[in-house]
Amino acid sequence: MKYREHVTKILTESLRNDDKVLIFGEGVADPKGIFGTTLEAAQSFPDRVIETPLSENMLTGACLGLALEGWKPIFVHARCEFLMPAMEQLVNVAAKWRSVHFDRNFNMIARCLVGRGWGQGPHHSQAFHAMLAHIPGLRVLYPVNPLNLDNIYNEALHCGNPTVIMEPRRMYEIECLDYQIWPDPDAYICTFGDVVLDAMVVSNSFQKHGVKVQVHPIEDVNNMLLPPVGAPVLVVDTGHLYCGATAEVLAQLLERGTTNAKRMGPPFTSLPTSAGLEPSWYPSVDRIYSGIAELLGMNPLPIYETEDSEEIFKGPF
Amino acid sequence: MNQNSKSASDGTLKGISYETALKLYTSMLRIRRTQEMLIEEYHPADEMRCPIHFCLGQEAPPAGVCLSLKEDDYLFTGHRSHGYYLAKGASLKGLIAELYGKVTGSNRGKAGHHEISDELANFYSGTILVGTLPIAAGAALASQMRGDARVAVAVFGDGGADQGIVYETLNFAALMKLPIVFICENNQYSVYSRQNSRQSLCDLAGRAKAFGVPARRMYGNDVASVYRAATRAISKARKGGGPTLLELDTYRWCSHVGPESDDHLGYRSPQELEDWKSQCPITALQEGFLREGFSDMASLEQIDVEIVSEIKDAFAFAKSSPFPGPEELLKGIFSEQNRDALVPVNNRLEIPFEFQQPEAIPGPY
Repeated sequence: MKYREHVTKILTESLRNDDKVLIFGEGVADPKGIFGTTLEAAQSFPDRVIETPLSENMLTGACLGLALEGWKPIFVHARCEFLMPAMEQLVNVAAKWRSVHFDRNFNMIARCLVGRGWGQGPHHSQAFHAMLAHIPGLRVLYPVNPLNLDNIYNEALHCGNPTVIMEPRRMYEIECLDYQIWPDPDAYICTFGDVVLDAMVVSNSFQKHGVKVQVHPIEDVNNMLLPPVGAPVLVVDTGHLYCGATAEVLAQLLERGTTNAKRMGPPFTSLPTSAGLEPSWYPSVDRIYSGIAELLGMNPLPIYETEDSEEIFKGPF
Repeated sequence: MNQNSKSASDGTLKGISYETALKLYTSMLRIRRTQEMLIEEYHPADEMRCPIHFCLGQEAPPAGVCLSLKEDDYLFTGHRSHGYYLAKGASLKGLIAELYGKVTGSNRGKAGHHEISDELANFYSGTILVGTLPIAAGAALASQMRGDARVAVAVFGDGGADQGIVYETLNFAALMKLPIVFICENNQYSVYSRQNSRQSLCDLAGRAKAFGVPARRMYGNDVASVYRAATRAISKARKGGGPTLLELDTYRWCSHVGPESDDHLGYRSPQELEDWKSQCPITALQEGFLREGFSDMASLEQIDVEIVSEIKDAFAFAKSSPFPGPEELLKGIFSEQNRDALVPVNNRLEIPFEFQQPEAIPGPY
């Protein structure tokens, strides 16, 4: 079952198992249903999948009002960027509500998609996990493993804090993340978002040289599971490095005593749309490969080869 | 505009019983005395260490609006909140203690004046940038979905009316026919900016109508007419008749924030202030009583004595209460299950042993 099919199933099952769950958003009840993920839910529970006016800030506040009354609204944003008008309600109001008003549990979810590829450009590609995790009281989850989506949505629906779930669109057709897990790897690649796919390619290639490069996706941005002190760590993100999630990882690694760590990300510009520039903006397999080789002091660079050296991940994006 | 709307108010206690009029009087006086005593205590004692936006002079809208509300109706307002707080039935002791930053305050000292709320009274305030308006819409939607006939009242000012979220909320309320009543207190100023320096068309009721919310503008310092209009709007909402907006012309006597006068800055004319002070809503109601032969002054004075005594008790309670301890600092960030250590979601995934074996891994890698 693909990532997006997991999401579809989880949304429908959530509505089925709990009559307090609602899905709001622009496009949730239309014929396309957010890349198909809300179609089944909209068909099965039409009175709880609600197509909304284009008023993200107001609707986020309305979700809070509903959540305080026991509902569990999931507000879907077809792109992370559409969360921006809602930042006022999320940051100023929802994140702080509990600490000001009686330490109350309430569950509301902002589910956003991180776009990539096919000229998505600067407004359909951003990932705000660092910005959001910077706010105390906001739960930020960035699922990449299709098999972990159940846990992610379970946490989001029950943790008692306003939660942002960021889903990388690039993961939608993926069925599983079948990287190996070693107790004693030679290096780690910590990733945020869909970079895990590139990290897996790199790891497979290093395996041919007998080097164990552990893929380590980070899905819980508030409490990041990080590698233990020892083997070198490369942290890679499609979010920006400056004041970014990778900065937090390096800081935490340093605090724990890991000094052989580096980070990698896009150039500090917004994503260009042109197909001539877009691929080189993202941290590529080649760059990640070189990064690990450098950390491991491998000189000359072992030849990069993989079973599928051409583009494994084809659209539709 | 205020002169026109005042003359349009009939200033009578028509259709209002003696008991109701007395409740309106008591409510306004309680707000008035609380504000006066807070202002008196604020400096130089400096023990209420938070900014306070006093509502002196604006007692009629909260008193008039809240009297027909039930305990389980909701009220959401902005920063000029004390009037609505008290009129909604929230705890006076909780208010004063919260302003003193004590753990016995309504929000255990976490809100101060800015975000004060009272769960039992279903009263919430603050959030800046008219943030409470959509929450009121959400609460109204919840009532509609439950079918329990609860109403939400959402209060904002002419300053807040500059914010886009107001119009998003009005549209949504009209679209969904929510059980919500919007109260726009137009006191002509947002801090030092006059309404006509911020808005090209100073017609806030007209804006609501443009979004499908029936609205009217009226004189806000005649508590009886505010009460009549609010009762009708609340009743209509309760019966499923959808939202209403009331634009109430009123005026604040104090500066935007704090007990000191800032009129020396000259942003408003002394004449304008004097004009509105001569339209004190409490004096106006007293005159109404005399005209209708409703009461003798002695019983009104007794109400005053009781109110002052209640407020003094609240101050004593606040002053003798403790501050929140350090353990309160980290309360209320994440929920109980996550308080001591957020358990990373990854941890909870039990990866079956077989999954880790290369042979068990399906392609294509």
